[in-house]
Amino acid sequence: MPLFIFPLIGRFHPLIVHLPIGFILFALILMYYPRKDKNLLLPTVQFALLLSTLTAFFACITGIILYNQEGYAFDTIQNHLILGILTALTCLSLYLLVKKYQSTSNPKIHIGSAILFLSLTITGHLGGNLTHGETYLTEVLPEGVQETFGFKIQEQFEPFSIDADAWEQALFFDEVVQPILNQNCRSCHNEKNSKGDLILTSKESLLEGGKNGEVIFHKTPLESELIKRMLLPLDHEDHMPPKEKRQPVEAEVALIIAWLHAGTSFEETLGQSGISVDLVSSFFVKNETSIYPEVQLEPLEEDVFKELKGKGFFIEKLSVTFPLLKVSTINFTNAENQDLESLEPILAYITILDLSLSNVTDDIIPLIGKMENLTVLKLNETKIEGQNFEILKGNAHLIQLHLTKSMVNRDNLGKLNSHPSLQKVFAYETPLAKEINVEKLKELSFKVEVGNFELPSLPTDRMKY
Amino acid sequence: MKRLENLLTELHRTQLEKQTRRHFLLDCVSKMGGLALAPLLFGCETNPGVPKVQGLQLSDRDLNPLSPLPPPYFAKAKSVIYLHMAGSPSQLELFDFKPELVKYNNQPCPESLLEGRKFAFIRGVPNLLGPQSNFAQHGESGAWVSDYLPHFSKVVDEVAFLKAVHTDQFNHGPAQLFMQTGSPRLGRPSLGSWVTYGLGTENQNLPGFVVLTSGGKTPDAGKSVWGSGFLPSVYQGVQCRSKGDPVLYLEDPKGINRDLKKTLVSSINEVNKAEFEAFGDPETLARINQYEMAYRMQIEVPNVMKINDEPESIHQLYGTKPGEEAFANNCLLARKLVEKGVRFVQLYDWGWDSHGTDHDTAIDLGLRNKCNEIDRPIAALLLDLKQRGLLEDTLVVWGGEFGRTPMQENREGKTMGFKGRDHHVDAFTMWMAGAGIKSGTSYGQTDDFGFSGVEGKVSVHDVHATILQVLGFDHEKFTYDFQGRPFRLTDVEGEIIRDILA
Repeated sequence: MPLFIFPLIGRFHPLIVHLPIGFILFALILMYYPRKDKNLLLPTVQFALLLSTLTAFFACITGIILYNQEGYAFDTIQNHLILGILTALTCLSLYLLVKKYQSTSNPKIHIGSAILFLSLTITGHLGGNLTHGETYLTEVLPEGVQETFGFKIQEQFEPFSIDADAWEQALFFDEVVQPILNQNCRSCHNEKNSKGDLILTSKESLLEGGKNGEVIFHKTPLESELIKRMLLPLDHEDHMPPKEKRQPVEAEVALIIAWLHAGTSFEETLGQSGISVDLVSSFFVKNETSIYPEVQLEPLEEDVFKELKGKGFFIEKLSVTFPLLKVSTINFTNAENQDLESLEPILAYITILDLSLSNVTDDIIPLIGKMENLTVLKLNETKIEGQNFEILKGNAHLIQLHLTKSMVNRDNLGKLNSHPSLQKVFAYETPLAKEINVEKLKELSFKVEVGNFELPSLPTDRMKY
Repeated sequence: MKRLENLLTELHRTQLEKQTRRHFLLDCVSKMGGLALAPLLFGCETNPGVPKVQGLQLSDRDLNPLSPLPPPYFAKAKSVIYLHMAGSPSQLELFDFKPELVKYNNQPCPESLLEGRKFAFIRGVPNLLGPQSNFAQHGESGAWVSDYLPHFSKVVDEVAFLKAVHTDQFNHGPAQLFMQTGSPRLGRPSLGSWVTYGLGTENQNLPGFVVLTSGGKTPDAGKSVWGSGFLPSVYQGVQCRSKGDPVLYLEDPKGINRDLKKTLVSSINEVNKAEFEAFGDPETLARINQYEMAYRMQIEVPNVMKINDEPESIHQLYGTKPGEEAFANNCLLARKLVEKGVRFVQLYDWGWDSHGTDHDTAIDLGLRNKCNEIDRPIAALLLDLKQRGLLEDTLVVWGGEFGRTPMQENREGKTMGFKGRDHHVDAFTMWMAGAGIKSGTSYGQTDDFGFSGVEGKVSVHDVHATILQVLGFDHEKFTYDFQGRPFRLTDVEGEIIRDILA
């Protein structure tokens, strides 16, 4: 007999099962449909039950072949299998009883029908779960209903990350390997759903392995089934996780290999294992240290925005959730000193102020001095000379000062020397950039960019090849 | 107002005059059909014009779709200058130094590399072609740059190279679309449109997204590379000419003064507003906004697009060619636009398709001339942005749509008269500089022949994710609802390239 016959017959199981389902239901309907003469349809009932029995057994046989050929774990199908055989047997008994009593109204027959109906329904449902997945029916329900009935068992795992400052103290297995397994393997290898009998939710289950034995080989760790499967080409049949599932990133696999390499210890920390920081660095949580001060300020009311926008100011929060503001006169280039007085109520909120191209003069500096959270100040192309720049020393968060094409000279910039926070001043095309040698600017406590870059001509510039 | 009332009354009257029994019958038929169709289309578009960024709802967006919005997260950059070399320059002559390739010059390419691959023009087994330029390390970062780019070599410390970018399209049109819109097929918004949609524009007198082209032709993929796709069309790139008037018909005709124009524009807009209230089509708002912007641009654009006002030293720095359509002029304009608060400036330079079919496309002749055209301007742009402090909040991106093969092109299987390289998707170089970028770095490496990436491979989606990150977006959350589902620039892919972020 050709080899493909059995698998082929097995795969007809999902089709064949519908015959007994149909016949059994048909027989039951025939039994209970007639109202007066209960035995009116008796010969038909007998025939329907005979057909049900035959097809039910045939379905059982194809089912068992399918189970043998496709390598289902017994645990997963046992209920379906037992109930399926029970259905076939009940069906046979019912047929024999009906034949014996030549009636459908015997109490034994009623009990038999009830059992048959129940076992048929449950078997069918379990079979459906096997082909479509356990959540097939429930996943379409509203989330609330699912939660109430506890159908929702899908666990969500946060992407795995390591604290950059304390990575050496992190436990290699518990804080690195297990989270990677959780994220990439656990959905198919857990206590409820253990494909290939493999559970990857804990140290114990990992050591236990799956139906083909251990997945971690202690003596030759790099030959471990766990890792070999992940390294197979994506379209290889045995590649894990399956092609259509989320794939681990290279660095995650590299970390598991490193763990195996380092001796498969369950107690070691990352530091003790001696692995290079490069292996873990891509998982560091970046503690975003922004240059802006951390403040406890109530977000501003919409009205304040509206009013200032109406005056012509550009005013926007730095990010959706951060209360500090960027204010500029980009659309209000004829703004004078007194126009800026309307910013008085929000001075503490301004962290970027751009007055480039406006008509402001040195008299505006005292107002700017009151902006306690100012980090970036742009005064490009203004008449600012900086006579009173010492006031800005009070802006303890000021980091960048843009003075391109302003009127600031060396002496006035010097008033900012030893400013508590200032790091960079841009002073291209200012009197200060022209008047003195650049060396003298190096004495200042901050970096001054005077620009005037040049790209000397090269003989190749005008060459035509 | 009187004028408007008259206009509207007249409109109403003419409409009524034309309303006949046939219109009634037509309405009955078509609108019943519409009623039936409505539920079928349900969910097509939920809330056009309001970006779905972190549950943010802003109604001024309805009146001015370009009004600025804060980014969802802290942004390192507020503007982008994207330099796209249409046709794709050879990474093997410019940045990706492969000494091994010198040794194997003119040897047949190992068949293992060619297995299962398709090239645009290469057929059979081509010969390898060694680099035609001389490489040296430059700057403190020791970046390899060839003598084709002598000026750029001096600013390499400002730049972060991506040496192993890959794409999946080997023809110009689809590859350009992929690089600019995240999809090789038409219909998606370009990067600049996404950014302008998400952040709006700060300068209300200038467009948020400006496109400048040079090299004699626009990109092969056409204007879709700066199109707005399914986003409202107000977010598409505004192409400005770099020769002659930047925007056509910008100046008022003789005898028309600005006040008359203002009245005209506001009357048209009143009518359009009524139209919008009646039908609610967001495109009407785009129309209103474009009229208003065109009016404001009349003043601002000629100012900003005039490079003659720049001092001589700046012209020398960039090597501009006033009065011509030149990449150098466009670089200078890009700086001016960014300085004025334009959100996204996109430059295309055409002519980088070095197949070796003639002198102009020869890798050792025409390519050198093209390099000469961009070398000084790009170095100048970076220096000029730096000296003005603009590099603190501007991101500069450079790249083509793909790379070029380590093999010499053998079109139709024949040896060609000039040295050229075919389109190559597996590995090419891009670079970024400026805000949020870790300058003086290089990420990724290619194999000995420069054929494929061996480490630090990044996809086009990764590049997009990184650009959005620098601008304060989470590329996975920045979506737009269209045809019943949210769309992202990076589709379902994209990993942020953290190694080049500061």
